Amino acid sequence: MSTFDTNTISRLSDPITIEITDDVRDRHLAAIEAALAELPTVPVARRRPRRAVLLAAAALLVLPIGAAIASDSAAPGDVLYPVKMAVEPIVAMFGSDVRAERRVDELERLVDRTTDISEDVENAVERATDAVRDLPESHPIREELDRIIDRIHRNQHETEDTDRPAEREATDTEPSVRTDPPVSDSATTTTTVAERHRDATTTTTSPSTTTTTEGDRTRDR
Amino acid sequence: MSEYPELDRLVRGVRQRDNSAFADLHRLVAGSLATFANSMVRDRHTAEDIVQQAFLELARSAETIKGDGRTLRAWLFRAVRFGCLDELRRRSRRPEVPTDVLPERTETGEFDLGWDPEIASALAALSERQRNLIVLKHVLGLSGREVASVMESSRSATYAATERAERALKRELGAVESRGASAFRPLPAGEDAE
Repeated sequence: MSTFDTNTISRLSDPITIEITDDVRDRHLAAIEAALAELPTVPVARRRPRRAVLLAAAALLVLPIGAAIASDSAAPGDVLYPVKMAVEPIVAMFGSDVRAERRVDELERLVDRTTDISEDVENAVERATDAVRDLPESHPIREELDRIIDRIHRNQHETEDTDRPAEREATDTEPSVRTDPPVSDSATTTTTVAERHRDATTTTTSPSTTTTTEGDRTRDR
Repeated sequence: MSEYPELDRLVRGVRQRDNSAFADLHRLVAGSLATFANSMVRDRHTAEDIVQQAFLELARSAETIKGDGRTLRAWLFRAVRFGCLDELRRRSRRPEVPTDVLPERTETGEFDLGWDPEIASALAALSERQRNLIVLKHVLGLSGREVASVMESSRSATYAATERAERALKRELGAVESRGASAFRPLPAGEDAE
């Protein structure tokens, strides 16, 4: 978890005063509109052949990857041993933290995009939780995963608290300074899963994350 | 409702220089951008001007924008950060003599974000970069990926720097609280090697 206690975090984040007033907004928008009017409109872009490029790249990668996989059980002196040695740093590079980062990013993207929290999110939570398991207790990726799981958790509370459309509408029109997590009616089941996995991330290994944070505090003094 | 799906939807409109997409984007992120800018230039009006400049810059390079809503938002934060750094450089070259201070304008050097005096003092003792990291992560709630993108640094380097910044702030906070905020004298930030 974070180096800070919740008190410090709320002292930092609570009293935000900057809200764009209507006249400032109007001034900005007028300037933006003027700038846009001077510039040429961008024609509706064709969907770039990104997927095709990726597929081609993947096809090109198949050969070396095949060799790399085959070389996994090679011993010194084998034909494939040099391949294995060549691949070793790459494997190390895509080690547990890179893998964890990618899984946590996937989960974040999913939570960002879907207000409907689906089985995909549950699976992503599971994959991310598995991926961070090998990381040291104080690794920031764990903290990030906790934050995302907290978000899913908060969604549940918001869903329980606010089924009042008027209130929702009012908050929607305000300039958004804070990050509002997506709200979903189906958040309840996922949160249970999220909670279970959060527990797993913090308790499967010893010492726990909390203990590490305490350790950091002691070191700081 | 989260701003993320909406941000994602706006990316295409922004790329096509659609006026309403820019207006929606402004409604969604201008407040956060101004808060960030204000934490750097410590003056609300300058901060708002820098936000406007960032949007104009975005209008000019709209078709080059790639990625999702978070990428777009990080782009704007990065533009604001550059704008603020330029402003700070300008100020250091030509020390500002406040002869014509607007009444609602805060004095240069003070934060305008409603932090309590201890937090403000402790933050003032950090380096600009450390303060950026703290504000982006803890005040504005950006994710690690976004913070790294705003600071134009790798994820792992950003994590390490953020942890150092957090420790530095905690240390400063301890120091400020132990001697009382009124007797505050800024200490060198110490740990920021970047």
